[in-house]
Formats: sequence, C-alpha cells, structure tokens
Amino acid sequence: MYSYFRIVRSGIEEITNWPNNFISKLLNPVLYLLFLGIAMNSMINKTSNNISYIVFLFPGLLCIEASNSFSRTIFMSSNHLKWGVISLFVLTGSSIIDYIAAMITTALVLFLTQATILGLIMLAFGFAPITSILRAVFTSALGLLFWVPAGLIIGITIKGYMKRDLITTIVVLPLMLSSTAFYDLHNAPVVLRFISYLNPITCHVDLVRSSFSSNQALNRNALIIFIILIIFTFISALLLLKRTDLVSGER
Amino acid sequence: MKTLDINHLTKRYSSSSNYAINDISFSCESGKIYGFFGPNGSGKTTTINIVSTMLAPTSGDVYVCGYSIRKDKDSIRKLIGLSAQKQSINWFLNVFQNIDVYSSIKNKRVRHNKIEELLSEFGLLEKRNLSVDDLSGGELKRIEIIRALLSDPKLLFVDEPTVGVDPIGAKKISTYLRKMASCGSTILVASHDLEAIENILDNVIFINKGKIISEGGYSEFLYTFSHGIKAHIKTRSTPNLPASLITKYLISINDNIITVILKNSDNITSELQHVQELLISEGVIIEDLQIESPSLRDAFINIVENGAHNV
Repeated sequence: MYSYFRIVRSGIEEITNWPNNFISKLLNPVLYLLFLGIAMNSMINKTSNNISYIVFLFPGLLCIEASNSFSRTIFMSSNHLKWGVISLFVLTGSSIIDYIAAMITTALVLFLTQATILGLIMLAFGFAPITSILRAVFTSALGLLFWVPAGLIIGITIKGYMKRDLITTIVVLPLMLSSTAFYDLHNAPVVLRFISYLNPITCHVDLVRSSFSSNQALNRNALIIFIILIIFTFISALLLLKRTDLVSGER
Repeated sequence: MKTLDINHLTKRYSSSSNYAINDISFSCESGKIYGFFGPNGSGKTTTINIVSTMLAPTSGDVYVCGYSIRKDKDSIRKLIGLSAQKQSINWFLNVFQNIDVYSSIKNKRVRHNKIEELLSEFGLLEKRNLSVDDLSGGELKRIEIIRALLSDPKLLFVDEPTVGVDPIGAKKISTYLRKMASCGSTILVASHDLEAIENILDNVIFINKGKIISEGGYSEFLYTFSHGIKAHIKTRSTPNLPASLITKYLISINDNIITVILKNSDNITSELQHVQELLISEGVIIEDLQIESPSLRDAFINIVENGAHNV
C-alpha cells in the first residue's frame, strides 16, 4: 500500500513540477465553460431536453476532461517505460497493480481539481444545485477507470512516439467530436447517430447527464455498458503490463 | 556463500535468429566485486536484465540467494539493486525526487538526511531541487549510483558506472562499491572504462558472443589473458641481443629500449635477473629498468582481437 501512495505522490510531483502545463490544464475547461458555454447559451435558448446550453454542456465537459486522461496516460506510460521508470518501480518492490492504481489516482487528483473549479463556477452563477454537481462529478470520475487503462494499453504496446502521436490524433479528436459532449445528436442523420452510439464518450456523457439532471432517472443501460468497458480495459491493461518486457529499446 | 547462481541461461530475442546469450553458467559469492566484461553486444546487458527480472530467459534458470527468477521474482527484486547502462531517469521529476521516490519505496527507513549526505558526497547537494534536464551525463549517472547505494542490496549490478563521470567522481564510486562489498554485498560491474575500476575487482567474468570465455580471480585472469609483465630496459646504445634471450622471451626493440615480456608471474624477480645477466654477458650497458604490470585493457584486447581464450 505504501508504494501505491508513494507512486501517487510522484505522479502529483510530475504534474506540479511543470506549473505552466498544470495551469493550462486547469484553465482549458474553465475557458470552454465560460466562453463556449455562455456564448452558446446566449445563442441557443433551450436544448431539445428543454434545458439551458450551459447546463447541457457541463456534464459533457466533465466527460471530455475525464477522457483527456487517455492521451495523458499514453504520453506518461510510454515515457515511463522508455525511461525505465516502470521497471524501477517494479524493482523496488511495487506491483503492476500499484502502478495502474496510482496512474488512475493521479488522473483523479487532476480531474477533481478541474471539476472543483468548474463546479464552483456553476454554483457561483446558479446554474445547478450542489447535489447535481456532485453526482455529475462522481459519475464522470468513473470514466477514469476506463480511459487510464485504455491509455496504458496504447502507451505500452505501441512503440515509437510518431505512431503514438498518430494514434492520439486519430482517436481523440474524432471521439470528442462524434460524441454528445457538446451537442445533441438526437436529430442528426442516422449514420452520425450510429457512430455516436459506438463512442464510449457518448455512453459516458449519457450516464453523467442522467445523473446530473434532478428530474431524470440514472441511465442504467449506459452505466452497465460503461462498467463492462471498465472491467474489460482494466483487466487487459493489467495482463498486458504483467507480460510486457519492462526493458524498452526505444530512445 | 553464493549470492548469484546462473545455470545454463539462454536468451534469444524474437526479432533475431541469433542467441543474445547461449547456455551461460557462473556463480558469484557474497562480499566480492566481479568485473563483468565483454565487447559491445556480447550479452552483458541481456544477462543483467534477466537476472534483475526485467527480461524473461528463453531457457535456463537464475538463483539469487536461493530464489529462482522463474518462481520468486518478487523476493529477488527485494534483494537486488540496479544501475543500468541506459539511465533510468524520470525527466518530469527533480534530482532529489528522482532518488527519493525509489529509495523510500524500497526502504521506508531511508531518511532524507541520508540522501542529502550522499548527494553532498557526490557533489549534487546544491543541485537537489534542479530539473534533471540541467544535469550533465556524469551527474545523471551519479543519481543512479546514489539510488543503487541507498537500496542496500545483497546483489548490485552496476552497468558502466563511470561513463561521463570525472576521475574524482569515479574514485568516489569505486570507494563506495568497495565499502558495500566489505559489508557483504555482491557487486557485478560491467564497464568499458577498465582503468577506473580495475583496482577494486576481486574476480572477472568475461563474456563474448553470448558465451562465457573466462571466470575466475582477477590476478589469475590478468596473467592468463594479458601479455604478462613487461620489462622496459633502456640501454646505452642499440644492442645486439643474445640468441638465448630471443628464443626464450617475447621481445621487441624500439631504438635503445628493449621490451621483454615475462610470463612466469610466480618468480618475476629471478626471471628479470636472468634477463639482465644475459644482456650484461653480451656487453649491453643497462641505463634504466621499468616494470609495467599487466593491465585489464591488454587482457581485454587480447581476448577479443586475438582469441586468447583458445590458447
């Protein structure tokens, strides 16, 4: 247990040692909420769910921030493998589960910091009650259990930073744009709706949006699908890391 | 007591048809420093990576303090320390954090003042809060060495400990390694900087093309594989060498300096006296005499270039 906490501390140090990067991570979602949210809110009176755009956007934004842990994990885990950091953790007596759990916890710390700022803005402007905000933050944090192991799988298996960058570019932006994070796709063409339903971000957004709304029941189908995805990716990441040679030839 | 026992170890990478190491066996005892030598690509790093449980062998087994790498990886990891050839540095952490995180996981009792003491010893105390980006290659190597020293291992692998390190730093590293061995640790040093470490070695293991060429005591290794002790004899003029000297010894002449290679390491004094008598009997006037001890470098080159192991 000690090594898990120690790796978490090291992960937080990795973030705070680079304050410019850390501040931009905190600032990005705030700018999205303030500018995109408020600007669109003034343009669109109500969404198809009969709620204001900023209330519609908030759960989507939380899910996007959770899904950002995917590309961050790819970057960090591939560097950890390349630099011999994972092998050093293992050599010092930490387990692979310690490492995976610490990566998820570090992502959680970053996510909760972002979510707290967003939640405070929502509260300050009176867009949502605190209970709804807390429910949304809790369900969106579940996303980290999927996105961090998924990032680990890519970060560990794909050798070469150019390939990894390509995958990150090909996967992240289309996933974000084809999800229901920023807009409602109920009236979109069938093809777009079909693509959107295959998107894990959409599944996550549906779950978080249902938990955020006080007059809507929790979307159990989305929850079940998401839990299945979490179990599958977590086990895959664990098995993969246990079998991977912890010595990388990458420079 | 055997700390390390390697039995018929073989490794073949899936990307290559050749064996990185092929059926190697050797053992190491506690409290001794072993030089683990061989040319580039000979299989040293592969062996170290397998023994440190970072790579799976194709066949064979390794025992560290009686634990098998096939069954007891976790137990072995607690017993070993590693300063790898490829620096294991987390570039997002500063100097102190790069040491503290691993040392405290391995040994919770490691105190910050102990880390600072070693940072000071290795000239890094003032740089403790700097980004590792600001350090030279030699300083990064020192971070690795400090980390390995703090882990207090039973078996320590040090791959290229003095690369990029200045002579004073290299001397400090050697002194610390000797100190650790005297406390019972077994140390395997792989290095091409032979002069920097040759005075601390007890034994030598030589590997070439994935096979163990030699395993034994340091002096024995030197006298077996180097040219032997060289006597450089300065004479007043270019001498005519006696036939008895030429037939008996390996000799070279450069102007008025005769270099004689003495192979009988057990009785160097009488052999040298015999050489001098032969020269004097031919009327050669000796002005100066210098003795050159056999070096690890000589032995290394002799094995790799001349295939001395086949002699």
